[in-house]
Amino acid sequence: MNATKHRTASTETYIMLALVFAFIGFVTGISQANDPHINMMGTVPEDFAKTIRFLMIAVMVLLIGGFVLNIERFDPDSLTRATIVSLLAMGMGVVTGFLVYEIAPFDLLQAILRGLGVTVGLTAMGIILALVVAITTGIARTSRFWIIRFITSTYVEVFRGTSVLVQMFWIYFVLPREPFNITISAFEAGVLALGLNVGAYGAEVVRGAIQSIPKGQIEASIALNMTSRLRMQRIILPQATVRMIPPLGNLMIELLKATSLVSLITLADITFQGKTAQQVVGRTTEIYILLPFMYFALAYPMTLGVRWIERQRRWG
Amino acid sequence: MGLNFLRTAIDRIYTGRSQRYQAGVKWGLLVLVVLVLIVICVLFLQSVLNPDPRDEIIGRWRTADGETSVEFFEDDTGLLDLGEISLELQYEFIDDSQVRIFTQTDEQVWQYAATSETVAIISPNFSFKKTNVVIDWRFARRIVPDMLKGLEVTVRATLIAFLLALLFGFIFALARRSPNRLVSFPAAAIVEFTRSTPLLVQLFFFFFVLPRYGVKLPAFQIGVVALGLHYGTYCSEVYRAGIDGVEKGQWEAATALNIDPRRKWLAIILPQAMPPMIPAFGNYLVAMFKETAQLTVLAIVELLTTAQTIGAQDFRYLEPITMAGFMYFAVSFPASLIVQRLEQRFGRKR
Repeated sequence: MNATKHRTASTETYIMLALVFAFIGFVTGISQANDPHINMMGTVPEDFAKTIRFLMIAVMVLLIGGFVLNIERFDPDSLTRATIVSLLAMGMGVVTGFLVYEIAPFDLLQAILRGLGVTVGLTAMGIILALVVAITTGIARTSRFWIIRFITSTYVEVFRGTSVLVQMFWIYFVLPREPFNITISAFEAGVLALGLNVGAYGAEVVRGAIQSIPKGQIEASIALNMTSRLRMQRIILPQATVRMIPPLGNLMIELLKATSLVSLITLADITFQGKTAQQVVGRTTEIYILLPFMYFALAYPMTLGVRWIERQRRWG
Repeated sequence: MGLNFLRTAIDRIYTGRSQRYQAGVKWGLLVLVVLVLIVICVLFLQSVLNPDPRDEIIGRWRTADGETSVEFFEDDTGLLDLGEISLELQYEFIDDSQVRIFTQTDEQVWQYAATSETVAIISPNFSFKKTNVVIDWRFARRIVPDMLKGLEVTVRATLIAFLLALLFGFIFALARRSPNRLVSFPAAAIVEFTRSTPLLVQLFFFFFVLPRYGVKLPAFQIGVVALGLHYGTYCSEVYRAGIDGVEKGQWEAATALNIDPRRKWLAIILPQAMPPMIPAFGNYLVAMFKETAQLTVLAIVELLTTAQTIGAQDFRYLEPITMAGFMYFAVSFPASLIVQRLEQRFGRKR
């Protein structure tokens, strides 16, 4: 027997419904929450019962919703679907509003964000140094002369074979004393170590991209009497650039993650600020849940950016 | 003639034909590393085989302004360095902090006073502050046993964390491939989140947050578990890529031939999926070995921690940290060469 065809509403309707009810729930949740922690030296409310209760409700709501969404045989009409969607959305909104407003440590955020400038600055300058080093070294590794290849290979293997932390310690602790006597600040040490290390990895990426161009194109360019420079400019680099951007993008994200190591050289990035905040206030759980989220918030746009660049197929 | 035979033999063992270009560079680098190792061993042996009592400096003091320094040798003689001139002297210790100095023209009693500029301890083993020696080979020789202890801890942590990473990676991969979205979505979220977060922050999280909720483990185990979880997320990608790399036709053929799941996995899928996974895991093993340096923050006494502690005693960082870096390099560079060899044998493009 054929089932009667139900006219179901479009997906956009459900989405709008969900957003409206989520907003209603969010406001409700906020209204139920206590005042947020504004004063850093204030006491922490030790009563987690309310939070646990709401967490349990949230888990139940999500479970029921997941169950409902997963059942293949269940085929409600649009009214039932709309009811379920709006209830789910409001439940999630209430929970989110309450948790965000009650638990969100705004003052901790303020304290930790003091280190954001250092982190972003380290990342930016590290990326610049790493790109410069990677491109020059990568191209040098394809040179005709064995000695150039050997020297750059040594640099690449040495900097890839030791960890970033060792290099950072070496630059920060060994260089200022005898026999080198180079005064270097913690920020410069961090930028140097990060740039040189990630640059070594990047050099391998660049070299691989250049060498992955089919040999036939190089032979054709020789047959067409192109100079080596013209060949590099017109044939090799445009194609190699496309191939090396995704791995280089991943390396940039690794650089962002490696900036957390400068907290061990007593440089005030967000990890260091988190550690000091922990010693002052002692709200360990919140700090060390907030900190990864901040790194995630910094890294995820970079991930999306890399994927966006990957999707741009036309280059020059 | 023999050289030619040797070269072809090495080529055949070490690398394929198309890789000879890169093999020359890598081979040369390995030879260089071995030569440097030999030179360092010879220098060490030299100081062992020809001990000069004047070389056995047991103490070196320096005044607060840094102008005057004195070195005490083993045979009760010493050298007083006044900047422009040096005077021979003889000494005898009156007690722990006072020493009587005899020069040719003078007899003085010096008192040791501990400030931030002078040396740290008076004991049978003096510690000293360097004056003008570039690389102190005796110091380097003395710290080798401690560094090797740190290296042992590092290697142990790496191996255990690697096994944990393989295990966690397998679990994460299974969870992500599950058709049940309630299982796969949190697993994917955890994996993405862990990959976007630095290992250091995760170490702090496990070390500071877990004890508050009842999980009280020693620092070494916590660090190893955190490292294993972090790299388990990377390994889960390897597992997924490996299993997805088996052609779809193999799955369909197994279904068509009515092969039961156990045999399908053991006889058909895994033997084809595993070879490309091996060099990837090898890469992650090498990476984990280098990342164990971050376990410093958990007060685990591994290689870099030992180097830092030794350096902080006398503010003499050159030898310990260089030696630590060299040890990291000496282990990870041959390992990465082995992984490259594995990649050529087991890699995907054959």
